[in-house]
Amino acid sequence: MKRGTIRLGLVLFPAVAITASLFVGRYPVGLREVVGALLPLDGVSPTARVLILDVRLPRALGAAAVGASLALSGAVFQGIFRNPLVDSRILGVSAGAAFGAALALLLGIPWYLVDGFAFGFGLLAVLLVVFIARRFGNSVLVLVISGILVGSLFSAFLGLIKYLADPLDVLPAITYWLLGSLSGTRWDTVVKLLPACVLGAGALLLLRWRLNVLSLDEREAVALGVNAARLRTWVILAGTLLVAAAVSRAGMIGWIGLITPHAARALVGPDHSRVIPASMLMGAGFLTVLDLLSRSLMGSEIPLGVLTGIVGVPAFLFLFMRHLARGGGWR
Amino acid sequence: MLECLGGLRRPREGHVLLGDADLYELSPRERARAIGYVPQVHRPVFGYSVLEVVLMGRTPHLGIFSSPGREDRRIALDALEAVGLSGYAGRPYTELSGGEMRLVLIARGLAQEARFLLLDEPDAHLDPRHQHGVLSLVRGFASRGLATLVTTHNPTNALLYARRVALLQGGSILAHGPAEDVLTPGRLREAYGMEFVLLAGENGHRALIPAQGMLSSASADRERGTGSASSRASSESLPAT
Repeated sequence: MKRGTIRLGLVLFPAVAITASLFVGRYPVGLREVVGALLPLDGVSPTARVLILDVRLPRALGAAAVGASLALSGAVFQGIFRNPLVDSRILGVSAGAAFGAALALLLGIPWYLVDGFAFGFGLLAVLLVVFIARRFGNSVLVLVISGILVGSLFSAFLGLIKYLADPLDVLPAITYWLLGSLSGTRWDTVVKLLPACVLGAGALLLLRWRLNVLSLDEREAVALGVNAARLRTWVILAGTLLVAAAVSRAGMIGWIGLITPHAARALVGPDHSRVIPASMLMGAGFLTVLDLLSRSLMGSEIPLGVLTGIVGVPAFLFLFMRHLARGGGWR
Repeated sequence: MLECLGGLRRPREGHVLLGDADLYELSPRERARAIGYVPQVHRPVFGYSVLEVVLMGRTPHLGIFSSPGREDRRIALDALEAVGLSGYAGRPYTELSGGEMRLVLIARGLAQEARFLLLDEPDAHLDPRHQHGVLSLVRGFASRGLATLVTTHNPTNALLYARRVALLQGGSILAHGPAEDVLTPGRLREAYGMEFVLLAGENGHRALIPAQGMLSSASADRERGTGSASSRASSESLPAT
């Protein structure tokens, strides 16, 4: 495929997925209603207008933003940790962020503090993982195991929060949110997602070429004139910000961050100046499509985290087999 | 020691000066514009193309948010041509042979356009033909005004390709100066703890090879043969040119 074709396809994928989301759902709407609601023209029933503009459109945009954030964070974590088998979930960042957000929900504090708590504990998780992995030789396997350990620890704390939460309102809210869902997404959700996503994604897009240098051996990056430790810290901050925003709004959605960067590399090659935007666009498209499926496959909604797991586990197995077949070890 | 000189490992005592400035007071960017460092080969996780790897040499000349432009690509392609890998730009770096990878890393060092180029054992793990290829290439750069510093475990290579040599043992410099003055069998015995002989051919061909047996256990070695002596010596000390 030509590079131009791929670029066009990458831009069209999320655009088409978002557009398709406006049509699909239990309440059928046609082209006339969608165009009429968007433009806006007369002759569209108020119900259809509200459904398209205030329910389906913000939900699709929210899914796109969350998908883009998760995929982007996965791409940069894989890059800077030189480890193709990690993402925010395997590194324990998602569990840390989820614990922070749940703690904030339990305390009943405003939404931006929920995000703040998610960011803080997500950061704590990734720093713990880096610290543990450094002590034990920093191989692919050690990093994965440290991530699983730290993730499990925060999941245990999360269990404690659930145990303490009021079983009538707070507990169901936490449980359902954790499964990963965009069902409550309205415009205010999109607005809350936006600052962190723009800031995190903006920073990583600007740094995208440097991520190549950072993905080399640490000393090599320093020899090439990069302040590797400082740059890595900034990249971790930006990646964690994206994860925290996604987890606070949509719960624990796994696999998108792990699989999407691999799909992006298969399409555009390993250069991060292309992998970063490609991962973003593909993540946005993937999650929008999965969300569309989650609310239309069955009578009631399938939680998104469940759906991404069903798709993601076989995909991870495939990647893992290929990693081993290509002589990529655990070192 | 090479890493100290390259600004990658702060010396425990003393200073490394670049002109009048302490190397470790410079920003990584300033330092990388002055000193290029060619590390030993190891496989990166991601299969960057050869051109992408060489372009990374342009990092110290780029702003933190910028990507390499047309001029950087030209410099990178020129560097590839200089190491004789013109047709390799689009190939995946991870699929090259060890010798080719080394040449790509040298090209990356050239693309850095620094005044000094430090190379960490560029002749290691290569067959004699590729050792010659790499070292004569480096010597060519040196004769065109690029200051180059090479470490090697092979005294003959130092004798053949270097103008000035420093012989290191246990963290100190035993001798330094013109290659012929430093690389004598006597000095090498001091450095490696074993006997060397200098072979000289008719057309100025020279080689330094181990004589049989180690000094410390000469009699024991005489009975067992000489097989183990040279490998032990080369893994223990590090002569540098």
